[in-house]
Amino acid sequence: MIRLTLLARRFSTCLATRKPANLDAELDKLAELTVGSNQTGTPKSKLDKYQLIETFKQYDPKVQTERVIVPGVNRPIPVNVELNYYSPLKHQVKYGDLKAEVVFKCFDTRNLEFFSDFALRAAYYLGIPATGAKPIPVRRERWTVIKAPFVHAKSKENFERRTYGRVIKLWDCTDEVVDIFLAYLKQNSVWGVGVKASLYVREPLSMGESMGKIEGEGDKVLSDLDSTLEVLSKDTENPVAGRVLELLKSPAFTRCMSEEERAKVEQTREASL
Amino acid sequence: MSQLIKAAKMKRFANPTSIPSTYVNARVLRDNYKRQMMAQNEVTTRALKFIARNSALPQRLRLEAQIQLTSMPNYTRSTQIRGRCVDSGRGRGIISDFRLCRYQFRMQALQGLLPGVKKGVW
Repeated sequence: MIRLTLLARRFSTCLATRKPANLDAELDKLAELTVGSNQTGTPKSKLDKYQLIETFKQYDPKVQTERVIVPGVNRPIPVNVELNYYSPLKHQVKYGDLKAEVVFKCFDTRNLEFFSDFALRAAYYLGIPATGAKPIPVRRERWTVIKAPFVHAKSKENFERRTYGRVIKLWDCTDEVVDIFLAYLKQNSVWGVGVKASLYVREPLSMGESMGKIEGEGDKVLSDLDSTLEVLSKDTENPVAGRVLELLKSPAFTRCMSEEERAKVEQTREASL
Repeated sequence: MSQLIKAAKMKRFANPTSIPSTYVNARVLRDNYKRQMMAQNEVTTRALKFIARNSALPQRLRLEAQIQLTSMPNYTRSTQIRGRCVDSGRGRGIISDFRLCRYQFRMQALQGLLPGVKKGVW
């Protein structure tokens, strides 16, 4: 019971720092969702839509805490806070369309577990079918250094850094929802946990043809002076390409050129400008 | 007297550079100067290398580029740069992951200043 109250307090403080004005209204809403006698207060359709209580009832093991008023807040524990005592709920993967892989990495497992757990819960409430958190192999970096500042090379000391990781896969959702999910993770990021997301996009079957066209353009690249100048003048983003053209038109280089080549270089300069 | 004044006005380096935010001594300053000069001249070096190594270009152009490349001062070359300890300026035994020399690394690791680094036991 002590653990419960502590948790509730921590949640309330979090909320209070973010948006104190809406706190009461939010807590009221959450309290209405509690498993208990006063289900009539909330509209039926809303409950059906989220099916929070239904899933909660189906959940195994069925150990519900008693309906107690939390001392600090004078309200009962909301359902979603209660759910923190269970492993995160997950939506079922229906179509197997992989949208994103989110990798969490940390030197310490405590923050890592906490944050990946949080991410899974966030995914559930956003309606994303997520799987994980699957551990990835631990990366061990080791250093052996001489203990002394000067000579005495025989006495050494070993140091080590372990990087733990977890992967969460997101399935069957739109890119927009994935963006919201990632933004939410960024907003609530935890100290020392790195997040890397790989997003997957499906291309239509005609993708192969367009790829062929791109290769066709690349065939004539850099076969002689003309093509080199052409490619360089097109590559306006690259500072090196600009510098190459600048150098080629400088007297040190034009001195080594024939009349034709000099004319070509002059032309490309005009084109690039 | 005039010689003395000249000596006072003499600069340590040919080009103006900023002083690094790390531990500073003469060797650190020298390395820092080379780093900044290399960064300034990197585009030119790459452009010259592009001309010199591009077999599509006329041979005379390539030779000219190669000559210009070799005539650039040593401090513009990336090979002249050496890792130095950020906290003690030492040039040997650098652990490049932390930019520290072995002794600074050991002290800071034992104090717990390097995230995740612990005494290795296996």
